[in-house]
Amino acid sequence: MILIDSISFAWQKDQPLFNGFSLSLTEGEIHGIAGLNGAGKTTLLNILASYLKPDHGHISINGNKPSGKQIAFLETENFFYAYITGREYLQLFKNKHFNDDAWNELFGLPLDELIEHYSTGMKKKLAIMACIRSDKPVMILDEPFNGLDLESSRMLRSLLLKIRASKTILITSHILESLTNLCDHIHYIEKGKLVFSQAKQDFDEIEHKIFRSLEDKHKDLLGRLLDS
Amino acid sequence: MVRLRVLQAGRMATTLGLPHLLLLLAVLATGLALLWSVTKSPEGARWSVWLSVAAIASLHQNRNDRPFADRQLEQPMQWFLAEYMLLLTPLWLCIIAHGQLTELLWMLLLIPISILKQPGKHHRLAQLFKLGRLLPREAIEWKAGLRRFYLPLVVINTAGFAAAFYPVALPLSQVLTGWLVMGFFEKNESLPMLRSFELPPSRFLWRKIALHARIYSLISLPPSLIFIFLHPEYWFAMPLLVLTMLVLHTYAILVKYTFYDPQQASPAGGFFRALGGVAALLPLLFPLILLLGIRFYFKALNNIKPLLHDFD
Repeated sequence: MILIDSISFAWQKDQPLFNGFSLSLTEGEIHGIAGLNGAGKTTLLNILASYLKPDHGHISINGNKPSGKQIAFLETENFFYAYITGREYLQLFKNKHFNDDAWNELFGLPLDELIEHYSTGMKKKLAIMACIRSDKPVMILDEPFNGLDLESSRMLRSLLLKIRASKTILITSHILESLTNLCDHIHYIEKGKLVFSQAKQDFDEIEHKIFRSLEDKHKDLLGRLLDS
Repeated sequence: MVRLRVLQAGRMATTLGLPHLLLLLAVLATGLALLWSVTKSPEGARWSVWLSVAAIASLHQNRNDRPFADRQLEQPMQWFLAEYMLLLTPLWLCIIAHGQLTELLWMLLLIPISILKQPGKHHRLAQLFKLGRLLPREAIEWKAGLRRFYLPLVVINTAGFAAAFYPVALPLSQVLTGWLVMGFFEKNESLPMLRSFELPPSRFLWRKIALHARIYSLISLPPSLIFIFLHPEYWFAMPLLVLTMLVLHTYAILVKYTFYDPQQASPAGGFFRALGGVAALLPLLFPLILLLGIRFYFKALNNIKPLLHDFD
């Protein structure tokens, strides 16, 4: 169980992004964090991955402080040394039982080529493979579907559904469908505030909740812009 | 582009802060005084030109804004050339002032050559470069660096070995190799890569330093032995040089983690790394590097502690 208890965080002193933000994420499930651009999704994940420190509040993972021992973190943009091979990158993540070549039948990467020659999608798949290889109980995936083709997206979805029983998986995406097709819970945040949390059986309501007010706003704005 | 460069310089000055900026100005003033005195003799001017050409070639191969310039500028090579000539203003002014016109001609000829595109097969060669596989899996900077600087490393060391009968050849190739190796620690790895070591901050730093020292000492062994065999009267020169380079590389590692920010490049880090590079030529700066190295050890620990605290 991941407990986020009243955390506050500000990029600039007088402009808090999170102010008393709380959320609990149950084990063995896939949780989706949805929100518009700038809502604070990536910042929240960076705080959970203990890359950023909250100004106030606590986070615990199964009763312990969040730590690199427990978390596999897929960042939005994955920086690689261009002149190492995919295999050399994977081998940084210790796991004696992980067979790179066997798993690569699923990912289809040219593991012995330099990362310099990888496409954006291939780099994303390599980073996902590294997360799986590191075999941590919590997986935090920031926009994992970005850059993936249709087949790879489906593969990733099947993979995550298969491994979720033994892990807590947290995913962000700005494409709502990719979350509704995969997650057990979706948490919608807006400007650092949790607007609602919805369980799988009530996903139908999400679209209505998020988009009704936005559509009205856009219609209004477009009307004014095109008329002027 | 000019506006961008001015903005970048302003941002770098702000990031450095006043004490570091004063330090930079002091180093520049010392360097200029030294350059003035060295270029008085033809030999000194020649060495200054060759070292500058090597530095420009290394800078050009390392800079990250080349794809941006290629896309945005109609004549990127002319722009780069203008930038480098501007950067070398003190050198050519000193050379002209001392009337070393042959050296000036060499400089005008060599600088454009040094920034020519590397042969097209470079990437394929780098890919075929298998030495990386012999290195420990954690030596990620070495694996990447050896492939990235494959061509200059091969050229420098082949030239060094070919001219090994001259006492200056192997030490010079060692200094140039050492410079390139400092560039291995320029890029910041991602957070997952940093954490993949699963070590607490101090053990992480020491592991990095020890790993580097092992690899660098090993690759420096053949040129050192050949040098001692050919020039026994100067037997102490190469071990001393390797030791100096090891100190400078350790300093570069500490600079990297002092300013480490996952996936970001730090202007302050770049400045202090460059200072280390200059110290390879100016022994006057060496005590400063030692002092900064000690300070950076503790700063690096503090910087990476929040990211690796849980491995304690």
